[in-house]
Amino acid sequence: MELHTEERDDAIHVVVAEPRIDSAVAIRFKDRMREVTADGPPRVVLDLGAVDFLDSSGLGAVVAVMKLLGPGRTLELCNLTPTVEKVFRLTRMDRVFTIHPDAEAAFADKRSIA
Amino acid sequence: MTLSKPFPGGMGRPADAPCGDMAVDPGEATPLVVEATPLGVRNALAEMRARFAPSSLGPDALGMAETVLAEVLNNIVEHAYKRGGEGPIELRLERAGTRLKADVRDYGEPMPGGVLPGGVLPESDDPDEGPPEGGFGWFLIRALARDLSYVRENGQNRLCFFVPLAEA
Repeated sequence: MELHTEERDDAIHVVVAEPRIDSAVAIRFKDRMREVTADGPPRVVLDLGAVDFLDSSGLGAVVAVMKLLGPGRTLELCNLTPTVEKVFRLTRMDRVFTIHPDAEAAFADKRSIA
Repeated sequence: MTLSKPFPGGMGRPADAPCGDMAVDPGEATPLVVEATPLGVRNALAEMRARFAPSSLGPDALGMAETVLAEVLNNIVEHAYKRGGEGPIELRLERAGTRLKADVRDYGEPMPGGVLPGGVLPESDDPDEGPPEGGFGWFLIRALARDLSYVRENGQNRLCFFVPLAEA
């Protein structure tokens, strides 16, 4: 499970460099996310631009990551591909997560305030 | 992770016909056979993509078909074969116009009660716990597949359905 991370101000940008988050890798994804976000900034922006496919195991793992960040920290998403976006929309999880169209939008708000 | 709760009360559950004449003629197509493991599921989905792409319907036209097939296959791995990895899954896939026709068979445990689970969105048992982490599988299948039918016969589960081939 390859993840690339970059810290920006109060946020960490995590790019998933894998084409799929499915039942074969969901647990590894969750474990790796726990590692890269441990003791990090309060905002976590998960970039799913390279992920073409996410099944219900992958969706459950994203929800689990949000929960393990705990209160006071947020998980936001950006760059969803069409099939992944549809899974979030159908399951109403698009109402649970803040979803930005792309990384630029995810970090734009912060710059305008600063 | 893909645990689906049975439909509570049984009210409003769509009627599921047994696999009828929509099914692919068994002698017609050689089934794709994969093992009941997460990697077997991946192989089946890759094969489906290779067989039906490039689609004239658009680059993402297979996305919904892949989602439904993935959930169906994951459930077979987890529930019918109980993660044992023992036993085959047979897929018979055929394009029918703007739809994909699927006939999926396994030799694991039957569906509880002999019927398909309903398609309600899962809810958390405890609202303080936040959103649910599982139970989305049958919701997605019900939301995207059409003409679902299930039959259990001679130790075989057979699930048939159509999925529209369309842009997400």
